[in-house]
Amino acid sequence: MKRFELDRPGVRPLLLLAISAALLPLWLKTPAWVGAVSALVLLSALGVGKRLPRWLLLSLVIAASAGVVFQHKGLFTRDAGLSLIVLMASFKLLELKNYRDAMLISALTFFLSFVGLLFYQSLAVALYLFLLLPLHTAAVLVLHRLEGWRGLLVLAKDSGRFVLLALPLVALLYLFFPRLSAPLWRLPGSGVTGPTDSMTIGDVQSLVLSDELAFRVKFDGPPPPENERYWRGTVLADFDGLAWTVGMPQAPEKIESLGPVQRYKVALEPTRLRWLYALDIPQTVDSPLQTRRAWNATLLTYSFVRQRVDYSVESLLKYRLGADATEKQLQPYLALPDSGNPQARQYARQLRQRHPDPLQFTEQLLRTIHTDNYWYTLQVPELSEDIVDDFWFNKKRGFCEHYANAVTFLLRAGGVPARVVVGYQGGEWNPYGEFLTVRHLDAHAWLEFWQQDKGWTRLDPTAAISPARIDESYLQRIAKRDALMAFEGWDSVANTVADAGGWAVTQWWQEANRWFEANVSQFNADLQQDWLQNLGLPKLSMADMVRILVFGVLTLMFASAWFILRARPIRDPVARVYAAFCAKLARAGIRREPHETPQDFLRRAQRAFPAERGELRAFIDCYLALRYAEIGSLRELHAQWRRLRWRRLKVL
Amino acid sequence: MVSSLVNAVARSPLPLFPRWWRGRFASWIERRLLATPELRLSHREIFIFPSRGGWLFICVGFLILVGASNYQNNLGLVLAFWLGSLGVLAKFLSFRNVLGVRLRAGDPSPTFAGETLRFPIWLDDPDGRAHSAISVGLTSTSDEAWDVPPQGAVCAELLVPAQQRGWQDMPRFCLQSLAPFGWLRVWSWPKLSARALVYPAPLAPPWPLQPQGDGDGKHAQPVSGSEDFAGHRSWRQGDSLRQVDWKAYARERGLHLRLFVAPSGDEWWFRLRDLPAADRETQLSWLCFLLLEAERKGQRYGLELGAGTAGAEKFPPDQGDVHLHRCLKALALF
Repeated sequence: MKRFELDRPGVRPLLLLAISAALLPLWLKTPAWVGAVSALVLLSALGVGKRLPRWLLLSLVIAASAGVVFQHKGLFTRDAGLSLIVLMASFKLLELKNYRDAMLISALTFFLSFVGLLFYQSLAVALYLFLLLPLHTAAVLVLHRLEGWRGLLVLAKDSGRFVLLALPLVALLYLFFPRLSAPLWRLPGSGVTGPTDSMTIGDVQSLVLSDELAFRVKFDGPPPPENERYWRGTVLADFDGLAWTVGMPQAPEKIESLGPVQRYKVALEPTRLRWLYALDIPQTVDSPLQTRRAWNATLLTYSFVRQRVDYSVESLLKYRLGADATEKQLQPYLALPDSGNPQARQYARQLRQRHPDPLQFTEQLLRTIHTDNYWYTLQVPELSEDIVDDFWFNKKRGFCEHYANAVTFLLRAGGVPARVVVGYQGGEWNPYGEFLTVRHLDAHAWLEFWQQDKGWTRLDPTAAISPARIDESYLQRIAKRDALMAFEGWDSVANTVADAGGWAVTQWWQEANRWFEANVSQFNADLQQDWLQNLGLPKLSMADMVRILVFGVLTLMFASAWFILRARPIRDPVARVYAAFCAKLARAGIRREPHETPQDFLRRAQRAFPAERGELRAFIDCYLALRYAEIGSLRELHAQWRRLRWRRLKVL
Repeated sequence: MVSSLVNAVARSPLPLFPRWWRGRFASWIERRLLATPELRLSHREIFIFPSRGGWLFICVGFLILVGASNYQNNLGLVLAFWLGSLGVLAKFLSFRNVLGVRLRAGDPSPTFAGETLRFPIWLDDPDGRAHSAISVGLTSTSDEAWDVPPQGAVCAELLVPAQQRGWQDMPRFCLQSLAPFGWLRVWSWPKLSARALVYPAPLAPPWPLQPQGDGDGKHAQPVSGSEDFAGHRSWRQGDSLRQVDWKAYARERGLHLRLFVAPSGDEWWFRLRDLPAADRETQLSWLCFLLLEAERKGQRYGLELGAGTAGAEKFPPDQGDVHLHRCLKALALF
């Protein structure tokens, strides 16, 4: 039999199956035509595709690549790369001619699984991709089996066994392998979204809801309640009629503590901006990046945050900020452009006259937002030049930036010092990892206004919008992200399942997802230390971990070597017992000759071991009956064997 | 023998090895693995190294490791760890697949020079273990492979070109396997003591087929079917099957030979010294051809080798496979 024939039964089908299964999740992440072409090519690999002439194949590949370039407007972005690898992997299957192609494809299946893991972080897809591993392994094994996939049961058993055999080593590596704390490179296209250092209103925009990680927080003690989690990034004070910017530095504002300090650690992903995020008013900060607290109680860095940075902060949640500000100091927070938005200015002046108290004034504004027909939506119509007028009186729809912009403008026009704050709000609490995950879609803009004796007070106009007027599509996008996590939007589904007795399953699935989120998809250097400490190990340095890793890997390697090299190969249990019997007698000095029947061997053995005549006879009788007449049971044979197994045999 | 091995290694698909290194390897292995009639492969005889496919997988695994580290993708890391662990296990599994194979060589049936000798190699495992996809060949590129069944044996064949008449030793050969993963090549260069008899290559003589006559120079022209039926004799091992009386056999009377008495003048004698002058090898090839021809025609023939009458090797006229073999063997070893 030729070793490398690809026409052995099952070789091509298994390879095709493995690579299609690995490609399946990727098809959903590529443009529809890429997925369709890839699926079609794979299907044709079973028949017509194999006979395509070379020039046609080549032109198809070139056309597909051109399509990718056209679609993604470039070749070196993340999405273009994905489309390209999906297409090329499928086209490679049309070129499956010899053993080398087959090896390449089997290696590709593993790589495509990895690409799938990069693009999906959910438990469901991870489970799917890891459950495919036996299939991928089988596709490698079948390449080197002379009989192909004949004896499928043995093949399945082998691949399953090999997958499981590797698990102890995987667990060890997972626990002790050092994790990078900062990435070596980023692909273009996976750019940073979220707050920027200015806020421009008026363009047609739609906020990009990216569920990419912004930062993770671990609190000392319980986390603050959800509606108190305002992560200040920067404060925008200067408005030119279209855009808000930071403005000129001022004298530092006085900070008075009114409550306990909240301590926490933040792991901030690269932002390419020049500030760190902190809960409300940061009091002290300990960061590897040189950081100072600016006049308006934000944390500015001296350089851009290009790498992940871990810092710890002490914040005041109950505070008084800048209560002693002089009129001159407040002047920049009242400034407005010379002209524009006349309607809004007049409206604000009239309202202020009716409500001279700044607090009542702001409350009146919020009440207007709540009762009037204001909408929260991500799709904002284009605003005319007087953006505040147009938004406040005509369009009445927008997201956090629009509301923060308009309310700040109105407050200033009414003579109340106000400024815009940009940052994040909320975050997702993970009870298993006991940390808070803040993503880019949690980006938010709110404002602060100044009152006598109370200083700067936070005001979130978005929160005032009636829940009935929150755009459905926004909810849907949130729901899509949380599809696996939360079943709130799926009450009916959940109820149906619960009625059918499946409540425990959905509960369990949610729990599993949270656990997975905490311990797998967000496992990092910190969590690694936590885990190891939970295992009872002291705090380990990197060098210690590498030492443990090397030692552990070597130990496990020797253990698995022993396990594999001593493995009992005889699959037939009856034959295995008989072989053990022969081996024992051979050790005692009576070796069965290849030509000897069990009967002949018995006779010779009985002469050699007269003390065990009966047991030997009983064993052989049992063996012969079971082997050749199928009378008796394996258990009986084992019982007979046990009577001999530990006996000390002495040759007469 | 060393040179043949050097050739074999030189033909192996290992472009990385410089020539001098191959030579050193060959002579080292020649000293290390001596010829034995039976060999059970142990760790002393087995070598293991990643194959090309193995290097590919190492690259892919490394790529996944670096990528997953960079994007802090823990599941990607798990995949990389899993591939690495499987690679480590594959090392032992591949090694296990060849470890313990017992090789026993048999003598192949004699062949004419220029044809292919088929050395039978019995592969089994005294422990009754199964081994898969073991290939045997002169070079490491040969792709004939055999499975050793559990508690059974399989006969692999080593195909060797028969080069020269005479005894030919079984060459050192490459036994290798890529199973089960194809990521590691496990191989050995064992040498078994077996030898094959190579007859001279038959060569039609340049004169029309006319056997030399007996001593007095009379050239007898055999007439086919001129023999007279003389009777039956029971079949003995070594007798030609052509003379069996199949009709009698069909009537269940047992295997019997039909004996003929041919006139004594119809006995053909082939004598080396009577052949026209040519070099020795050519003469032997002619003789080989003549013997085969005579046997094919059912003629009785004798053979006389040697220059003088004194030391001459003489085979009195007879016929049948055994006689033919005896004569050809004499030619081969002359």
